[in-house]
Amino acid sequence: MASVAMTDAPDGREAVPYKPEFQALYRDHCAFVWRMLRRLGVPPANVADATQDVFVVIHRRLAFLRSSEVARSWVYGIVARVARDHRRTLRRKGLSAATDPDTLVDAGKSNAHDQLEQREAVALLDRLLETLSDKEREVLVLIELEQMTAAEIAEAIGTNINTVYTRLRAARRNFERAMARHRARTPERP
Amino acid sequence: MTELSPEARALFEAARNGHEPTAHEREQMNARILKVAALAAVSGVSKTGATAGLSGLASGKVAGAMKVTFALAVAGVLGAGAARLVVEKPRPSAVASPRTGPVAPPRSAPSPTRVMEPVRAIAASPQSASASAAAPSHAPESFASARAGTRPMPRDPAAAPGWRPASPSLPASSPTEPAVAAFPEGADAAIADLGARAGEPLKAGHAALGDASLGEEARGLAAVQRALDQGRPSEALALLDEQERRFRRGELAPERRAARVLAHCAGATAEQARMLAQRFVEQEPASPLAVRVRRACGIR
Repeated sequence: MASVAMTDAPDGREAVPYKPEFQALYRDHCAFVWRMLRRLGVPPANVADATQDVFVVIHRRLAFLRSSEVARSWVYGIVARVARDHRRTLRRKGLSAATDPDTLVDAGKSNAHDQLEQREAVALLDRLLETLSDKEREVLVLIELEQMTAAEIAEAIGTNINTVYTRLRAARRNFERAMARHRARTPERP
Repeated sequence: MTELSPEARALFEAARNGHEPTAHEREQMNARILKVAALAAVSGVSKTGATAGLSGLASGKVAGAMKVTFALAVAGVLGAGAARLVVEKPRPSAVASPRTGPVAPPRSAPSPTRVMEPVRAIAASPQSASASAAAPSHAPESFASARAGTRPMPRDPAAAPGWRPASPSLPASSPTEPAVAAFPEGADAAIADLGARAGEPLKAGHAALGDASLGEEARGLAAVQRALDQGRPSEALALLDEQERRFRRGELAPERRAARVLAHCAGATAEQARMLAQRFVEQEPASPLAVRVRRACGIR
């Protein structure tokens, strides 16, 4: 099923008004929402609740989505707010958003060794990302994991491209520092 | 631009797929979202929207018919019972009757639907909604690929196997079916008004109030809902008294007032209830809650 209606007819016929479908949005963006919440620091135990929160907001605000072309950045705007909200709540309760490695399993990794390695990598990555500010983390994750361009990020988070680059620079620097600190604390593996 | 060190890059690569939901998590999520959709359809849509929305769910065409405008906190108080009835055991007459609908105590466990904490706290960014396409991207899962409009679910070909309701017994409701079609005139306008309010940017005062208190407020309202669902209107009233003191300038005051009316209607103080109901519909004439309150307490 086509997930979205056309906004402009290519052959110049009258454009059909865009009517976003909740089900299609859910189908197309569920995994994106889930992993972005995780990458923005919502812990595994809370990510299902946060995902539901995102889709409740999407559901309520469907009429405000004007075109399929901006669907993902529109969804991302909601994801970012929900993530921020969940993290703020965690912080207020004095809870850590750090990941418990035991809760992480990638179904795609059939091999136990691979799974373990990935779990450790995710847990370490999450810990290091925790040392960044929310804004730095957001930009770094969108660039390095979602592989968005700076221009796309600027558009998605409603800022200008110079700000994105500034945040990215700071994020990379701080991430490297956190990684160096982690190395210094962790004994070399044999 | 400083690049990441090879070691940092390797870490990102190793962790790249580790944040995806598992198949099991996806299934659970599908079930939850279906509930949300059904709930919203029952509690917050126009005359034909509710039934069309639900049959749409069953037939795979949901959203065109669904105008979701209720905060889930509202739905939590007023709609969860109805949603449960429709989703799990369609009994149109029970949903249709204002007196035996959601407020009637179904002796079962409390509503499975969670009251959403941040629902009212979050407004999607108008900038992002109106943003236009910009630079191209090089990644298969990036925004640019989504813009192509025909992008399949990344890394998950069996995208939403659990999306369709498990039970094939969902009613293929027609718009004329009495179930939820008994929305009085004016409900559309009220819903449109709610929709407009949802579009407003966050107020400074709200931000200052803080999301935690909103979350607590919503949880409080959920407790009231449970008390109502389980046939304990006096307890609901006691909870409401306590919450009125606690959240004096709370965001969910209209919902609490509506819940108070419903608690009275479910209890013995019908005369007082009618007075309260009258006052409520005067104070909140545009609210869809006024529609329910009118129906629950039999006033015009």
